[in-house]
Amino acid sequence: MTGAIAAPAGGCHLFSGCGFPAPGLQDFEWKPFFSIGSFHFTKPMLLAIISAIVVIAFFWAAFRKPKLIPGRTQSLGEMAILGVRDQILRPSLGRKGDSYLPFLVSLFFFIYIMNLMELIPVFQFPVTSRIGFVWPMVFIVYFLYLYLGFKHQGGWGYIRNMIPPGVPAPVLIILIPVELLRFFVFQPFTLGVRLFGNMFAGHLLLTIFILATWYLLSFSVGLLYAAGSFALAIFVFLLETLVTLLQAFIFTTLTATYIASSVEPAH
Amino acid sequence: MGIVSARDRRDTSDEARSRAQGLNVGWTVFSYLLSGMAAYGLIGWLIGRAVHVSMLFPVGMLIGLAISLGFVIWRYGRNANAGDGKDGFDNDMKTGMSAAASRRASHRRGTPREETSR
Repeated sequence: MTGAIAAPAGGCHLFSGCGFPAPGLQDFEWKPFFSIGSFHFTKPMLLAIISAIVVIAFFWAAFRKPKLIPGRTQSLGEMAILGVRDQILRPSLGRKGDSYLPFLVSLFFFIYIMNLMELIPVFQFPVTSRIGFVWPMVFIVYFLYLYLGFKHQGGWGYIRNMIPPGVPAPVLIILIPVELLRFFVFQPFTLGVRLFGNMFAGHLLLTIFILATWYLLSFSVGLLYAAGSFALAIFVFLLETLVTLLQAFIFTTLTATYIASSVEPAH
Repeated sequence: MGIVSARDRRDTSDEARSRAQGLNVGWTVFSYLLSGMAAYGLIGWLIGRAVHVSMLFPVGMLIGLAISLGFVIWRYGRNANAGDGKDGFDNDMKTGMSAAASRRASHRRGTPREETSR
């Protein structure tokens, strides 16, 4: 893994006369594998497709022929589904929200596998650190959120329920621009940017420490620094194993709460 | 956020429920703070352009931040831990209102509070 990431550093080491090849935005740009006109097929696209195939293949293998006494794959699949149901869906939607379970399970594991690509050797890139992959998911979630809201509360009811309850009329006038902007711009914006930002920053940190380990590696005092940088790279790696899961969890949990507020308004 | 029926509540742990509610409220509050600054910053900028006072842009942002903060405190913060413990944090998260604000809203509508949240 180190070798592949450190490739841009080449033979550049401490005291060899070249500066530290600091990672940056260029590490998130990929040469296309192939191009069709203006369409360029890049590594993040390939990883997104692989992530989707992994999720589909796993659940297909787990539930292709479900048995009363489940095998290993089926048990794992059931654990995965029950985990999403009990930790994400039911706390927000209750039992009546079970019809949204397939959507939330798909969303959670798709995001999780895309995030996890960061830590898998050879792949080594979190798909969600490219914001273009995050916005379509945000769009799907928000479209569902609005659609369910209009479906369950009606057009006027939905707009009425957007108004915070118990707010005096003069204050409401002041709040209208804030509420509109929050609902249509900043709520979906924060949903997407949080996932993107965390994965982007995590990948950058990991790249910095791995590159620094390679750069500092020399038969001098640099070896000590390289060891320190390597220890930090391991630490960030372990941290990222948690972050990948946590970000998928947060995105899906917020999706569940949005669905809940559309299906059953609080007021 | 949505309301879970009493029977459904038994299906999931309090910890998981409060975690989901906390996440939702946390990010809603963050969105309010951003949108307050953006909305009134934009209004300030537009007025500032019209009257040639560029100062109105940062002033608008600060006013927006103050409005958002005040609203967030009113809606989520105040009396969050007050009352008997049932009326505070839990109900606040369900309705997105502070306990006192929720009581006032219920009183205005003339309906018992529990009914309004179901």
